[in-house]
Amino acid sequence: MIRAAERTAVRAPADPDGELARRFAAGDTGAVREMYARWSGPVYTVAISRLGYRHLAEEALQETFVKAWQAYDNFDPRRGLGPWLYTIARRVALDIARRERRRPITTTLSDTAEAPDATTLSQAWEEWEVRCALRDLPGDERELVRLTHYVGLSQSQIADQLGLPIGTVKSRIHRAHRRLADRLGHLRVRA
Amino acid sequence: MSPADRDHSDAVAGYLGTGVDPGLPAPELVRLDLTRSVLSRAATWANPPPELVDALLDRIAIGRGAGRRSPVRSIALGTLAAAVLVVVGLLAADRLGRPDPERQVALAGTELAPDASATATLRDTPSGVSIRLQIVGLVPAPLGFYYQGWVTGPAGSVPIGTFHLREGDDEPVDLWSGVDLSDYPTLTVTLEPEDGNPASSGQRVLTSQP
Repeated sequence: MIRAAERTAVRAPADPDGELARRFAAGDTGAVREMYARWSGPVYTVAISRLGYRHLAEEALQETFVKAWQAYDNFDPRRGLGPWLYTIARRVALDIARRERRRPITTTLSDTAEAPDATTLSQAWEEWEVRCALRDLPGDERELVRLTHYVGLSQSQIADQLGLPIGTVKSRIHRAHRRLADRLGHLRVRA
Repeated sequence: MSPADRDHSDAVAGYLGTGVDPGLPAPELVRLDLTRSVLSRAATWANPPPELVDALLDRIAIGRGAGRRSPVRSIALGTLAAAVLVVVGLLAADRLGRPDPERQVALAGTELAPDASATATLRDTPSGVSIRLQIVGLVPAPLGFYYQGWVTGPAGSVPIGTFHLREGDDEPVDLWSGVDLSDYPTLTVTLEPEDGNPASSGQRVLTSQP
């Protein structure tokens, strides 16, 4: 613990993730809350996508942060908090999924209940990255993306719902997607 | 960012927003289709209960305490744990023979909604059975359609309420049954058109097993 803390302290001025992780490892309440505010959404998305049930995803979420706290010595500040937590979250969700498969089925789990477990590595990473990108969008732009993709409204329906001119909605939706495209630019597949 | 990168970002933004291909390379389109698919999933927009952070802080506080535990403190904690076990045992014994007032049933998505699942919490009340559905992965009902819950048994099916999920599936859906679920043990959810026809469409999206 001390060795990792020293390593982080040297890098802290240029490494906000490392500083946050160091405070998190010390059990600093503010740091735990900050870590949770930043990463609970992406961890929850990966967990619920893999496990399918909220109660299991909530268990995975809490277990991920506890394991991160316990395994702080393994944190490499050069990799950043996001990829580190993602790795822990996936492993925790996998362990819970295995445990659930071993349990006798007392309620009802048809074959389709296995579907969430079929998430591929690339899908899970995409989910993580998209969730992080959405977190970083301004709230009004995130809502426009939600209405477009999740609720499935057309631009004119969104304009009606929000009481905005259609032209304004179009430009704001494009701006939101442009911001998403920039934020996810590192995932670009170059031909 | 170079002008070429800016053009690419604009093209990606256009494709994400409209799904119309502006001439992007095929491998990039495959990735962007995955992005669009992720954006449409309930899991992407689901939020954990905010109170979980307090439970997390409690666990970390307990872990920190364990790391500094002295032998005397261990004995004291052991004694306390034994006392708690005795109390829990007595409470459990007191409950023996009483029916559990609350139980859970899992529902799985059908071929119409393979990504969907739900947990139903059933609670007997003086006025009927409260059925609280926590649903995951079920898309909002399209305009002109709604979801309907049913309980089904040998005597037929009884409707237990309707909903649409158009504001998201974060909140549980509360349904009510006025019939005894031991006679109607299967819980299903169907997609129904707004056509005034009270009969089931048969389009099952979620189902439990009896």
